[in-house]
Amino acid sequence: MSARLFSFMILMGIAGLILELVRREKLTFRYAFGWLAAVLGGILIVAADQMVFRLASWLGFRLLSNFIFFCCMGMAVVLGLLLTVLLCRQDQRNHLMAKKIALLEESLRTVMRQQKGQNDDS
Amino acid sequence: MAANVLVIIPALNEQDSLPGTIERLRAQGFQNILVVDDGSGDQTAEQALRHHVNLLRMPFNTGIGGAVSLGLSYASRRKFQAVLRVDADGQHDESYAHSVLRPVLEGKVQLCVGSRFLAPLEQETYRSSVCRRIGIRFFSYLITALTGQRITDPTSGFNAFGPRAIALFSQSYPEDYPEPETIVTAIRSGLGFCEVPVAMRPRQSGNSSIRYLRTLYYMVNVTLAIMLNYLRPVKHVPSEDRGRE
Repeated sequence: MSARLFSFMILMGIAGLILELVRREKLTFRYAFGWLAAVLGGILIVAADQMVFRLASWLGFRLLSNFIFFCCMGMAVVLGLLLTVLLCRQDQRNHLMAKKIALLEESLRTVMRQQKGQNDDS
Repeated sequence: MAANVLVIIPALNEQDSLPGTIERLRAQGFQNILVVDDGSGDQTAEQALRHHVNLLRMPFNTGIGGAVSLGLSYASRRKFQAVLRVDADGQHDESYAHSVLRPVLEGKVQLCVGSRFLAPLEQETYRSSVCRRIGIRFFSYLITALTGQRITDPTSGFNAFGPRAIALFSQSYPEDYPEPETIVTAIRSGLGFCEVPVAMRPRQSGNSSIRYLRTLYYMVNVTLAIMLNYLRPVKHVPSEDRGRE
């Protein structure tokens, strides 16, 4: 089996796994998009390997494998950073919700106290 | 004096010290007391209700910044003229509460901080650990150098907020270890800031959250927060926005 075919099969397997997670609603398309874009990038590298060779030597990499490893690491860092941004946004939303809940709970307690007072009066 | 003043007590697992703090504040004439229970796992909220104070209960822990910000939102909605923030652990000597509030109620400044290191009380107050004092001194120099205004106790949580500060900080309040950044924001926003001398006590129960490796995290976090504050646009609060959320 050639390395290109093996890489292509692995990438298709990853794409299939991502789509299956989306189908099972374990992952939404919005968050799967980054991973699917990464897989697409991988497929393009496999399809146009001569171009990747030239690009790697132009950037000063002696071995193509080093260049690909560098690209994978870079991609992992970018995806990790994007996920951290999403996590922070989620955290901010959670905090906002917690504050709203606390304020609503206090309002409810006040209303119930007033209601109880009115009932006691009558 | 204390009629239109809200006292905010952010509390996390302070069931033992909270009742004493509430009682001492009542003895100083404060009737509007709000406990913000920041996701305590003990009887903090129940203690607050037992002592008939207002209670906001976070469903989970959001940190001191989240708790104070929630209290300020509450004050803003209910149009309080001033807010006094007091820690639940009993460290803040409530007999100085009126001194901290006075410059705010007189309209001189919008943020007043109770400082442990101002004469004539710096010798009488409880002295924290050497390590902590070095950290406080570092932040004092940093903020003084950046703002041009002398700060002696930038980590003190014994604060009073005026209406414009309430309006500003109910919208956006620093999350982690907020005190030094709050001072920087207030000065940059032209709210007016001052310190008054206060004495403090050792905490009555529990341990500080800033210990061991967290000390390093605290130093890096707060330093970066202060520096990054200068990269953000200045937040202006027009005086007609008094108390509006």
